[in-house]
Amino acid sequence: MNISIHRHRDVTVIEVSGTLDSAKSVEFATTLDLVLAEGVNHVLIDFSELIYISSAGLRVIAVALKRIRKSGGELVLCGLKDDRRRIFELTGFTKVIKTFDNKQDALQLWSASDE
Amino acid sequence: MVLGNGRFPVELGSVSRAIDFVVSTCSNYGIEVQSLSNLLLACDELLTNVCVHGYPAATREAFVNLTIDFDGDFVSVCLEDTGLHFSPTDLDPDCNFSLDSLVIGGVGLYLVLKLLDHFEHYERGNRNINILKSHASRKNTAQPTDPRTGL
Repeated sequence: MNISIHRHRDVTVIEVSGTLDSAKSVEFATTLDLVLAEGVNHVLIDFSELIYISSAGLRVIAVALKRIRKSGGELVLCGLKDDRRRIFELTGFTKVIKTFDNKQDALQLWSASDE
Repeated sequence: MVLGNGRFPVELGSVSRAIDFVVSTCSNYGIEVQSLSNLLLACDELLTNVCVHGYPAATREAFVNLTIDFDGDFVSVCLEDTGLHFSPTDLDPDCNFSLDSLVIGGVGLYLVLKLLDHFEHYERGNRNINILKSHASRKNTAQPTDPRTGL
């Protein structure tokens, strides 16, 4: 698994690639903790290059989502493909979190609200 | 055709190594890794379950055996352990999850039952045997290669 973080205006973009297995979800949680500790309100997780995500990884997203919403922010996902999208649908995630086909579409969410 | 066998100590650190083993073994045989996401997820969840719940904390020298097969359309992974007997098929497959329940966790085995093309669990003697099967795509190659002979 590789995680890279960059900023697009006031959006923190976290790109996660490879296999997000149970053990690596600890690193993923630490990354999100650090990002949220900075007080950012707009987080986009890009899963375009994700091979799979374990239930431990899903739990990390659920925890981060609750935390950021408590402070008035929002976390969204993009780039989920085929089987990976189905995992988020089966677990009900797609009912509680916004998902976008790609990064450009996701960033529109906040650029539209800035105007 | 058996693509590979592995033996992994029952500890959480083995989960990543076992997943990497499945990925590299299948990849070496020309199978598209992107088509294995459901199978890898299921392996991860079952291995994690064995590591966390399968053995008393004081147990030493416990291992999970992993065998990978490919029949041209489906990749199968057989996981064998000697831990406490537990059948994932006893779970209720119709769960409704909320954000609060996702925070608590527990969706892993539900996903195993939902995502695989075939899942089988049985006990033989003191062994738990889990067979996971999922459709897989192979990259275009002129001839299939037997990993044992290279032919």
